[in-house]
Amino acid sequence: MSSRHISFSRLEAGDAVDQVHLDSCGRCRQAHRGLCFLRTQLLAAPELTPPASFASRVAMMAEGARRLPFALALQYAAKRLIPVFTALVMSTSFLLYQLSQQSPSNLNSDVSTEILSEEVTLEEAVNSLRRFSEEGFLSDESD
Amino acid sequence: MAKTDSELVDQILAGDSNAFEQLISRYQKLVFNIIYHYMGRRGEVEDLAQEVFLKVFKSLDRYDQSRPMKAWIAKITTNRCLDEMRKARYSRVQLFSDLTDGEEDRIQHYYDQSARGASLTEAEAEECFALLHTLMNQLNEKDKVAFVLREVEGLEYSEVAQTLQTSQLGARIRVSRTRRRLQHSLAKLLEGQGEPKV
Repeated sequence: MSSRHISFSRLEAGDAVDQVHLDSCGRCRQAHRGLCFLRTQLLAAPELTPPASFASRVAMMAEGARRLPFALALQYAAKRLIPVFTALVMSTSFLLYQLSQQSPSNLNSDVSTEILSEEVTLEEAVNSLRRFSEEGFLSDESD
Repeated sequence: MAKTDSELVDQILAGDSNAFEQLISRYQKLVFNIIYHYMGRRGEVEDLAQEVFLKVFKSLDRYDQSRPMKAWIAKITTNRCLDEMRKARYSRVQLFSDLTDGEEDRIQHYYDQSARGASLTEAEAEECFALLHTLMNQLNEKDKVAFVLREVEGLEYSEVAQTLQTSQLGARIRVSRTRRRLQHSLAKLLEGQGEPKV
């Protein structure tokens, strides 16, 4: 009989065990049973079978992911343009607001005021005629 | 004739989505089971597997074709699992690592059954795995990854090493340490229950 205890931590599945030692050593026998139990039960661990559609579904998702970078780039560019769009919309709104404040009636009144301001009074007309006659503009050519 | 992984990668990079579907079909079972056996919960496996494959797709242009695809995908999967476990810790989701008395009794029951050579039904095997998984939650995360890849998924040490980006010796040390800790936890648990009834 070998008196050396078996080193179970180094014992790989399928390795030969010193049976003579096992028969005479209760400690190694128990450790061997424990290891066999662990090995058997772990190897007997249930196995999962992937669903039939798994491979095709993931391949399709991967194909979608391949196209994603372009979509992401577009989204990124759009995000960067947001301040520009905002500024554009705000300035357009401001211009439109300013224009709406100058309604057509206001425009007409301005024009009419301007016309009135240039209206010639009777006195001014008489004075102008007098000045023209003094300067000889109104003299009869036949005279 | 089935295309090699490298041929599929070239086709995917050239824009062939059908080639990606073939690549998923080839590795989906591995990814599903690493997630399930590492996380110990069925509920989130499909969502995480989907994220893993989308990450694979995005990273394909950086994939070194001289390395095995299996280890590369396993690495992405385990990284995703580790992230998920960290997230669970940050969000204070309870990760049970202590068994209740009732659960300890169940392990003792399964241990006795196993010692008698009786096989477990599928439901029993699932329950037994869930209980052992609770014991595994006491482990260091990378040790647990190494152990699951080697002892549950049956990957070679070279593949475990590539997945964890360590040497083969480093992978062996992690697996062996985990084996010893689990054996110790189990022995302690069974001691508390009295001698195994064989």
